[in-house]
Amino acid sequence: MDISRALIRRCKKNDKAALNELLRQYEQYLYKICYYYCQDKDEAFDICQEVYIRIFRHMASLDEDRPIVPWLKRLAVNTCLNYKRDHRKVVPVSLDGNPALMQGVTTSDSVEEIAMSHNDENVLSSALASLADNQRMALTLRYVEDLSYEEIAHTMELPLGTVKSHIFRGRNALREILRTSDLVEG
Amino acid sequence: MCQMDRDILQEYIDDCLEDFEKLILQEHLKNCEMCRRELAQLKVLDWDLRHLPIDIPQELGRVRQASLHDLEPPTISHQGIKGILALQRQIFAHSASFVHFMPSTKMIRNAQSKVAAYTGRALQERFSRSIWGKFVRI
Repeated sequence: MDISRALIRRCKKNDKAALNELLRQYEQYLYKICYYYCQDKDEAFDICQEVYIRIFRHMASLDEDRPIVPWLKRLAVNTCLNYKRDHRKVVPVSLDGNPALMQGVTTSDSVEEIAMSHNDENVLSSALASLADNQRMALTLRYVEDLSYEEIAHTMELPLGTVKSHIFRGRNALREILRTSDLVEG
Repeated sequence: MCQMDRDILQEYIDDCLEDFEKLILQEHLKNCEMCRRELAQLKVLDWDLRHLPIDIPQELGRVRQASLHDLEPPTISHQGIKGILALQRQIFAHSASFVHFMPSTKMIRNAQSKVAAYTGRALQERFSRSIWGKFVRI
């Protein structure tokens, strides 16, 4: 899947056609990582755009003799983690005149009904999006990229033990969320 | 109450155990319902996470185009050798402008005037063409 050195050299000279070809080849790959990480299409688009900007800025530092995929992967991982940190905000939501929201914030019985009416995938997706950033990224690399613990540790620049901790705690947190949603037997 | 380290179940799911560790765990699972139940939950969760759908939207190409459109290539102005030399002269003149504030500038200017008065215009012009003459204006 790696691209030619000639194309990389043209990209380094800011050849727009070459950059277009590079992104066209890897945009789906990058999008999958960004989407699995944030579980939101619009946010995934925002992150992808920031990844593209970083690719343009750091193209000069790319070593033509080495595969480009690990370089792109590390850029995407760092962009995802920094994006969540930089865009973390609390958006106050008014319940007035919003029956859908009112329906979700009444009794515990209605909350359970809504949870049960949702597709299991949506619940898992929401649960995944609620995890801590590093746990979510470790699980993303495990399930989207099928990386080993060692490869995840190398990509995230974390110790092996820390990566294992993120994966195990992430899964345990997901199990607990799904258990309270009655999707997993307690 | 089971004393087994729960993390071993997760490593078993990820196929990261040594062969002898797998044997020990499999023997333990024969007698521990709690671990069997937890392992089953982990297997289901593992399968769900692995098969969580990722739909590739059609707008992805447009996002790429928009990013490339916003990309401004570095502008390189082709001034030619004359333009570059003029620019260098300006930079040098600006960087040397502190000379006007040096204490000896007035003395040099006065000396230049006296010399010019005795030796005539030719010497004055020659001085003006020198490096020092470029900073000190008569």
